[in-house]
Amino acid sequence: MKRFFLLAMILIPGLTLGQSKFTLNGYVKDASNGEELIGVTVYVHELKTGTATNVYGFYALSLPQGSYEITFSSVGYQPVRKSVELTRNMEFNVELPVQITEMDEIVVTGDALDANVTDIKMSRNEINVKQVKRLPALFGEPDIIKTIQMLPGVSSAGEGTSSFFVRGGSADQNLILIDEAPVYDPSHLFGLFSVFNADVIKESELYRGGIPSRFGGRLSSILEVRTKDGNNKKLEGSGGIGSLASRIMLEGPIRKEKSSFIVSARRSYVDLFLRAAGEENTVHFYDVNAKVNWKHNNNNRFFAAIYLGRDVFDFDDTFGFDWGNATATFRWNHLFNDRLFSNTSIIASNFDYAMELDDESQGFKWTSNIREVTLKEDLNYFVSPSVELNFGYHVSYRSFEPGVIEPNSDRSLFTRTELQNEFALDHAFYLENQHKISNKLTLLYGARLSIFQSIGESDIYLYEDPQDNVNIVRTDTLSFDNFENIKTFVNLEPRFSARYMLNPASSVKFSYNRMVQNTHLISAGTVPIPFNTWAPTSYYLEPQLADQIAVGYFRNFKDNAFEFSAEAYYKDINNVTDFADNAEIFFNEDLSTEYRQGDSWSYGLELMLQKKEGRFTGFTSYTWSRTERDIPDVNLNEPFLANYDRRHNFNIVGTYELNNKWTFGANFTYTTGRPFTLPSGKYQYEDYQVDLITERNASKLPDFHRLDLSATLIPQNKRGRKWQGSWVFSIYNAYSRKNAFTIYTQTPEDSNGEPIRNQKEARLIYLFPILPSVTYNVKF
Amino acid sequence: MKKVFILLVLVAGLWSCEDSVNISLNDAPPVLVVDAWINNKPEVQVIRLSQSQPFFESELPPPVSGAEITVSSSEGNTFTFSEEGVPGEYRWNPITNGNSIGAIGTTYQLSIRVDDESYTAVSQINRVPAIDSITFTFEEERNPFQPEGYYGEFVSTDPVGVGDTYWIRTFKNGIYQNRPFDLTIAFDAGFSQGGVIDGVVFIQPIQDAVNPLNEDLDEIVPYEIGDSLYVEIHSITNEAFFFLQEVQIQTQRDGGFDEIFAEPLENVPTNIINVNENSTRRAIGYFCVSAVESRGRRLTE
Repeated sequence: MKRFFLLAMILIPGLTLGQSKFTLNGYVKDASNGEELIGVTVYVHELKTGTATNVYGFYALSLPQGSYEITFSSVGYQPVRKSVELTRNMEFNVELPVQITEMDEIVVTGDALDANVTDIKMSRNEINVKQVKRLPALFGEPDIIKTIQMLPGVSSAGEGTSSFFVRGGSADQNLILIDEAPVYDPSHLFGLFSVFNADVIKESELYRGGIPSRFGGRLSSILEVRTKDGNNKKLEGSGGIGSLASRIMLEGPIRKEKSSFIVSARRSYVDLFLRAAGEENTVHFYDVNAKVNWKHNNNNRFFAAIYLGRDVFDFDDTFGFDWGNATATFRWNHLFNDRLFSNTSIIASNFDYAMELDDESQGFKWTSNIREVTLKEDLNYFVSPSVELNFGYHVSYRSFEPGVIEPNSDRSLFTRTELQNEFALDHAFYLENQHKISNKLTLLYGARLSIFQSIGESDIYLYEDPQDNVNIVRTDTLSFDNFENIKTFVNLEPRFSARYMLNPASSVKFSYNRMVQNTHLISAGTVPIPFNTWAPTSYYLEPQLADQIAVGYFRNFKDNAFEFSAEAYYKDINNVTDFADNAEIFFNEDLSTEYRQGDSWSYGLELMLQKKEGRFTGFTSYTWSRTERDIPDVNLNEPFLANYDRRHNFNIVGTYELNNKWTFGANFTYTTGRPFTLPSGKYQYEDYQVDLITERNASKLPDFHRLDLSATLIPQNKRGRKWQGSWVFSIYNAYSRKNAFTIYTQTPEDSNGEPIRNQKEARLIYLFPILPSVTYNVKF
Repeated sequence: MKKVFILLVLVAGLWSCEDSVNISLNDAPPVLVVDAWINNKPEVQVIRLSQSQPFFESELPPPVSGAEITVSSSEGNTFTFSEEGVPGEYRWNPITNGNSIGAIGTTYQLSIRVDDESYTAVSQINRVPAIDSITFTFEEERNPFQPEGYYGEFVSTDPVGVGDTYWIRTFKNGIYQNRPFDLTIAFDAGFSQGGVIDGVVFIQPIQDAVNPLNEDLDEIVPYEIGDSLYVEIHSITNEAFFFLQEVQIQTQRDGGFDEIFAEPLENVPTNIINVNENSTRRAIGYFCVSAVESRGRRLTE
């Protein structure tokens, strides 16, 4: 650590430890429930300068002795102006009252009014959970991922999936965090819903560029979801009944103002009806989120959070499978002194799946998992109002168990077969300095040093030709003991951002970042499925590297009521992981012979106009982009369009509050069709008609567009009633367009069901026609 | 794995729908297709040459005539396949020529000369186990998929040693069952390479594969008194196994939800090589030489 401080001294210009300066610091909270507020602007009128609260609601300012007028402001809250006589280091906690408007307006919480323009961050969006809840939703289940898929620079594989693609990155290049713990598969029901229960989400933001140094490990984006801490003033609850699932949440103080808890659960219940109807095939999923936090004193706060979620499919009690994530986070926020804020976290994450067939002779159970334990030490050092230093150290231990097949009866013909487990240690050091050069120019510069070790216990097979996946000839085996180093990969990830104010309402921003990814998803499909496994960078798999630059113009109109941004980016990825043609990715002991790493590049232009206040709120986004891949041995070594390449992508998301009773919402999305592969010819072999394929992803699906509508009704409350209900009516795919999920070809059949030889037909699969749904929510 | 996905289709049939659509494709230029699957049975062996076609064309594949085809063995024999009568069909008769496909372990080289290009391919004849018996068992209705009736099975034991690959062909009442879902291949005694089921009797689902499905592919048609069942096991090379596995993946596509998670289409591999590396003309298809064991039985009272 000492080294870091030394380095910090050198890096920080204008670092003064003047005797006449004192520190003002504290937490900013929501006055109604005690939730800490993120990104609140703290403005010192006398010095025309300020800061913002960090992700834990903490701020610190180092100011010369004197009296100051300080305003704390955030969208959705009444600004609070305080006079402070700074004669010593001071702790100053503030609570902001929620803005009372005539109507229950939806506002984005925790953001400075003009953050779009003034914040150094670019290529970043917050997802407003309150608004998501009023938007039309598939089967009435509000889902932040579905809104994320409409942001600029983000695309989806179609509908009904929880995967998303950011700026030409594949779905596994997104780091999805819930309370800092990674979620390896965010899907329920193969992606119909995401694992994020909207009730419990406090804040969620997506970074697709200008990624801060404290994040690493994935190439393309960071989706950070933080759950609520729980109301520390009074006991509250809410619940909801939807077409597919129901939810309940309870939160309240344990010791008033000192500690609080929140518990939330969600379960789908279609299976209950199915069982009642005598149906033997059932499907269900559930989620549980729980969190406690306690404030030991202002210098020490503790949080513990868990998430558990699982999907269970059962067919006739003979065949079934399930998958789920479990994460746990323990966090300690500590103030070393007035200026040094520390966050220590211990994080565990587990993703596993199982598949089981009950059969006397063919019975088996197949299991697989990925686990990780991470220790993070993140420090914020508030050097002066214009210099803020962030640095830290992260270490993770990961184990990858790609699969075990076990017989589950004595007579089963299966023998226990286990694929090689893999292990890895991942260290990262980072240092980042946010430096306000002048009122116009702010810089953020830093770097992350990633040290990734592939470690034992493991056997590495050597091959005659490591890339020959047909004639696999093992020549030797290298054996490694527990924790023995197999190979170390060191990468430096520079990060740089700059913001220049053109005038008080507009700015230009620039960012460059390099990202390294050492966990690779083993998937050859268009959409990842929960049965895909992950592999670490290792003997046969190089780290994936991405360099991205982005420039942007940001402007607010009408007193920050409208926010506009235009960004252009170029991203270049080396060693992007792909697979040989006809790769066998399931249960393959020689999987490494299927790896093919190549290049990928993407560029695009993104426009966004957002309105966060007033009766009408929402955003519209347009993205033009192009993404290609060039993988050795694939597509005859020619570059091809990635399956997540989309030329045009246009979205509108909005809600309108008509009056106290009614709020209306709508989503509209239009995107160019997804590239996919169709045969370009056919031939006869023996008696089989075989497709001839010449080019990968050379065809395009028809364009995708869809309109969804919703209406939220809050009935007038009777006097004295302790609870408030609301109805959300949704219409998904209002004009019932048959949007292609994919197109496939087959041999058609005649009217007798006999295949017609020498004929082929194309068939389009679409998932959802018009789908109405109703959800009832209650708050108490 | 296949079974898993079939079951997934069941789940998702709930919410996915499909329609026939018209699409236009960029047709690939035609390439030479070599269907050279020969065996050691004492009967006329046929190699077929044809051309690939535009995908939506409904004509029969155009034959390729006028080729010179020979197969030469590591034992020093050369067999000449000649085009007699049917265009594109090149025949060689082991009986009239007085020699035959040789012993297990022999390698063969196929040479084709057509349209000023030369193509070549290599295969080896591998061991094959005998079929010990064919039995019929009367079963009550087990589920809608397996109605009441006589079910056939064959008993054969994969020899010890990992890496034997087979193609199992079924003839019901003398008719070769050659629809996509009838294609049965085995890696040792199991379905695929990963299972490592070696040196034992073929696993039950492979033994059961001699019971063909109905036209709708949703029910097995049991055998009736008087029906005959004839089973052949062809030894194939491992590469040929992977080739057929890809043919299986491609032709056994049954649409629906399965397609949502389907991996992108990729070319089925080939072992036919143009001798001139610089030529842009290429060939597809497969050359494989099999040893064959067979047994038949008629279901009687």
